[in-house]
Amino acid sequence: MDALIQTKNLTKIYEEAGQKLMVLDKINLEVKRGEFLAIMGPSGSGKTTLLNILGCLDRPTSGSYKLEGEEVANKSQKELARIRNKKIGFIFQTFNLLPRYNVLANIALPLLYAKGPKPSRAKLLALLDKVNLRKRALYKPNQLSGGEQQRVAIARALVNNPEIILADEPTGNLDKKSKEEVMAILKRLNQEGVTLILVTHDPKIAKAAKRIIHLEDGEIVK
Amino acid sequence: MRIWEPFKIALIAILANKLRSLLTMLGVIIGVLSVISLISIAQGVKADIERQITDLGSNLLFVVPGKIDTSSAQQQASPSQLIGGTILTEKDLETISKIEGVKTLTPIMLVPGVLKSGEKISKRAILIGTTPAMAELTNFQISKGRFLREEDKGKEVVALGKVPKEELFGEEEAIAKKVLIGKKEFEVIGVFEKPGTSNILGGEEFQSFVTIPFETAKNLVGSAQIHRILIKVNDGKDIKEVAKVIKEKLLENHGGEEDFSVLSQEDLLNLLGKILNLMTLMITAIASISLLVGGIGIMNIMLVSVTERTREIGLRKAVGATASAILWQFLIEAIVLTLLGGLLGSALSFVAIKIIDLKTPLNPVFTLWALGLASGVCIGVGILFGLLPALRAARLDPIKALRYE
Repeated sequence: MDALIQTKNLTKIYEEAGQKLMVLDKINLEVKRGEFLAIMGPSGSGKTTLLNILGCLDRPTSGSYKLEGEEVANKSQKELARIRNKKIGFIFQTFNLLPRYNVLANIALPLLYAKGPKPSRAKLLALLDKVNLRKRALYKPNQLSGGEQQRVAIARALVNNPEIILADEPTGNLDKKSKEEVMAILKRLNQEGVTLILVTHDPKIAKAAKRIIHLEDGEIVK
Repeated sequence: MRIWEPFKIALIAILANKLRSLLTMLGVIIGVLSVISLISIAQGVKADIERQITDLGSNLLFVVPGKIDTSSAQQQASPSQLIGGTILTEKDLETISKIEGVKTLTPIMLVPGVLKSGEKISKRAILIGTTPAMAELTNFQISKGRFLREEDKGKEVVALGKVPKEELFGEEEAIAKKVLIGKKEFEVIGVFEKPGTSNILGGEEFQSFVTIPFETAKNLVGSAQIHRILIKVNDGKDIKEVAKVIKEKLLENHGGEEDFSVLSQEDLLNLLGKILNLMTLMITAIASISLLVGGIGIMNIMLVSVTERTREIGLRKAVGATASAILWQFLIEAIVLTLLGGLLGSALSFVAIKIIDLKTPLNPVFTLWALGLASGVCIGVGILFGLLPALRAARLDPIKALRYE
């Protein structure tokens, strides 16, 4: 299988008050299509920064990042927005649903910024079936449990058929039962062919992944 | 992004904070209300005055003391110029009456003094000495008795306008009663009125006239002081041509010095039009300040809105919104907010104009251009004051925005 993601000497340096802080130090990483990768490491190890760069939310200080063989390290903000919209689905620890919009409107949000024909309501409902939330289609986020909210966020991440789903501590704010539900859905999506990269510091969650890498002080240690 | 989506987002955001949105709009509502209402009132006053001048008839010429330039915008006529000194003479009257095309003419002499009847004083009376031709020139309607006649020359008789008649006599009969002008006793021979010209700016002037024979006025004052000459031109004559001849002949009388003006109704309209347009402009400028204040309120609340929705902005960027999409979203929200305010303000001004029309002597005229101006200014204010908050939203770093607590 070809490499979906390929980084070479990916480096990120933050400058704060004249002090340089090396957050990522020459990361070489390859992720193949259909993989399920967990990135682990203590807080401050740079795992979220790595995820942000892979998700085109942030740009590396130096090094190369190829997504589907295309260099994205030096693309403009506008092009990065297009890539985020088309190729990447984000899942956040805090769900980040829009409180004034119902479930259907929330999962349709990325479509707002997409070009081309919009999927029908039936397709959106089918997407809700994937996360077992069809009955909640017209609910507002504050009427849903944490687990349900995160499942809405998963449906939103899937709506533009992205190449890759990036999840940053997706179960960090959930109880045990919801955690299991969310992980079951993520696993099933991976089995259906979705590429998944998950950041966590919970070894139990990471176990669901097919491959685990450990970050420490901006370097891959295992 | 489709064109209506930002409008939908804007409406959802505005409706989510109904009270706050309404209070923010209040500045714009009041601004638009005052702009439209004041412009309408000014337009109404202008229309009233124009109608009054038109009522005089289009074949009238006025000779007034002082040089008034109606063609140059720089040199506005001052009220003192319009009242003027009295450099017009009886010789001028004589000269004009002989000019071809002049049908009839009358001098108007303002007479100082107070009109009394017993203990009652007429406060609004305008005392003038004139000739019988006055009636024909101004379309007076005699409601009681008769107007001045040739045989009244030098006699102490007076024809009263409707207003002083009511001030002195109320509903009582006035004919043959005695009134005092200064210390002289005059006999009332008639009451006249001029229907259809009652309005605020001098409209009642005609109704307030107290006319005595020109010769009598001369005796009363001690000399002939002609403040105006009203001239009626024969139908079918070119009024401008006649005015030109009058000017030439009077110049001869005045030794070549142009210390008088010959004005037609058109000239008067132009003159007053300029003054009234200036007035409208001034009123609009003052009312626009409230729109400016409203705009600052919009900017303030939009800045609050951007801060409150930092995470939403971060999320939208994460799922693919470009900086310009965010910019437009917030700019359109500001514009929708001001436009809604403008719409409410327009509706309220419509009501206000109706009330003013019914409850005051003003006759405001609702004009589409006032509405257009107000909506245009609203969009302008929305863009102007929405831009800073929208730029701030567009420039947010998505990573920091998503982490914002």
